[in-house]
Amino acid sequence: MSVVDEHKEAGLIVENVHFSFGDHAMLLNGINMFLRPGEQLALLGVNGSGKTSLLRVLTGFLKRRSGVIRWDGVDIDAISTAQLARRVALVDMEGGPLFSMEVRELLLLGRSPHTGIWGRFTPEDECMVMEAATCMNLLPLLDRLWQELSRGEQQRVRLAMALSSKPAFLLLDEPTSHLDPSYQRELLRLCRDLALNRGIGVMAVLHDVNLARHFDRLLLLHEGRILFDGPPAEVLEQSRLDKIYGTGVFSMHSWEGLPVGTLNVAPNPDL
Amino acid sequence: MSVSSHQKKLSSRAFSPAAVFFMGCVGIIVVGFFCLGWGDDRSVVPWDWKLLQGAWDGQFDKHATIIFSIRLPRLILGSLVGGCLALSGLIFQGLLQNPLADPFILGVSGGAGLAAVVIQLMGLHDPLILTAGAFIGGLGAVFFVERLAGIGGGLDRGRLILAGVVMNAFFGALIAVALVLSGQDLPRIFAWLMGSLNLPDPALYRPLGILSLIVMACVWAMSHPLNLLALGDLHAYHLGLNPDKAKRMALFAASLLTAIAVSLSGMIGFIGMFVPHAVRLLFGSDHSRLVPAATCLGAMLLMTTDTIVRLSPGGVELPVGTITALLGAPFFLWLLVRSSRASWWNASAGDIS
Repeated sequence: MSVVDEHKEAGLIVENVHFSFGDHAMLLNGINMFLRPGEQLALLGVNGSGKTSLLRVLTGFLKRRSGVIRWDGVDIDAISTAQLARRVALVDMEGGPLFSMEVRELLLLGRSPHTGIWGRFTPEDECMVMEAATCMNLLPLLDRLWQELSRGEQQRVRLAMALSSKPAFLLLDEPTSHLDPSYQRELLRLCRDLALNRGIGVMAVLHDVNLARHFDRLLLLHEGRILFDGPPAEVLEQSRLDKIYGTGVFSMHSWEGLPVGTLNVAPNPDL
Repeated sequence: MSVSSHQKKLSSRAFSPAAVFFMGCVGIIVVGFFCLGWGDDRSVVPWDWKLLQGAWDGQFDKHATIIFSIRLPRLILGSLVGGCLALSGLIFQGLLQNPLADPFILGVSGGAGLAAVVIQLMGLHDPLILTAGAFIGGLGAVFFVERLAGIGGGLDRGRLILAGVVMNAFFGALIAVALVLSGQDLPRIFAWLMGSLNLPDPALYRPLGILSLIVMACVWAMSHPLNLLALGDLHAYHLGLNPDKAKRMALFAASLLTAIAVSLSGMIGFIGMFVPHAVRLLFGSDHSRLVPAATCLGAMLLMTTDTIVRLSPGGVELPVGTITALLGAPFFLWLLVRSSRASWWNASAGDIS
């Protein structure tokens, strides 16, 4: 516990983190950021700007080149994989089971951070799994095979797996990419509920700036650096979006006094 | 909702792991009992009460000797080798996230075969040395493949498979070259390469058999990590498993099982690939059920096929691997057709790259 006593800061603290795949150029080039408990943070950036890699570096799945990552004051190198999994959950849509698997089996595996290496599931574990499954409206799907589900349903299973482990921090990689509008709204409500009522720190990679405006704070990631960090009203500004996504991609409007970017779909004048 | 209703909803309708194990053991005993009764001399059957009573009192007549000294050891060897191959195939398919993986994919058979050929060419015909040499050669080959795939950190599935396939081909070529250049008549080696259950030295048969049972029990105990590994590295890691460590342990266990099987009985094909798929169709995806199911089904299949081999006409024993394919393929196709579920593996899911 001495490590915790030394740094009593709660939340995630990232200092000067660098990362690259092998000998390639640095993908993350000196990332400094933080995430407080109960805070909702959205991460925006173009394809290839390092959003997904940043999430995976933060959980230690990808090994950073240099820099410091501390979860609740504990250096990530001082935490075991299982300890970290109990604290931080990542929802990522990549991959999946190769062989057929029932939704119920997958949901139970979501409690793995708490069951130890032997995978002994207690009635409490099953209770929490059912709670998460109910929250994601998965009860009708329990008997179905993962392979038979739609992408959106698979995404909800992944979310339920993460929720059932009762993490202190939830990292979401494009959590709305396959969800229909009603589930997108549910997801935003869920994030807010988790943050406000349970004190969970939520960090989500998003492409939709309209969804991002509902978060407490936005990070704009550009060429491996955090370009802007602040509340949506400050960050969602024409010149900043132009710099990130290219001039004229977004046009800004005001909605309920907040700036909103909508895709500018007018014909390209250069063509 | 109460806890009990939650449990009812979440508990699978499938048999419990203990029930699967129990059914498998009963199946092995029943199949084994009938296999014992089949042979050239049809009058020798294990359900002869006088024979059993005599054997219990320590009086072995000719019939008891045939049952207990000839048929039974071979039957036990068959069940062990069948169990080893099926379980090893199950681990490799999950570990490599590849439905085409079999126990020999990472070069165990090539390494063991090369070691056996070299030992024979050196003029050492002692079965004890042959079995031990094949065991060490097989494990050595996998160790080499694992080192190759691990260069650059991590343990990449695609690199593992490629390195294994290349080394298997290389060892196969070396075996062919050695056999052709030596010009020796090596029927024993050919029989061994094709797989047979009548060769091993009893001195190694018992320790290797006990070792295989220990490894099987350890693998069953590690069902949960195997379940997590089947989700792919990314998800296994974020559910609290160190995927590289778990993969190395699974790789070691599966290679040990394959090396035991190959050194005892050569390369018996098909069981290691077919049985894992069959038990997935029958029992789902939880390794706590799949491990005992695959082991027991593999044991039963090889016991049955070896009995057919013993009975093959003209006194010529067909390679047991041929019979496993002849018997197993139609059964597997029947399972495939019967299976109402669309597919039991998902071609787009594997993160093989």
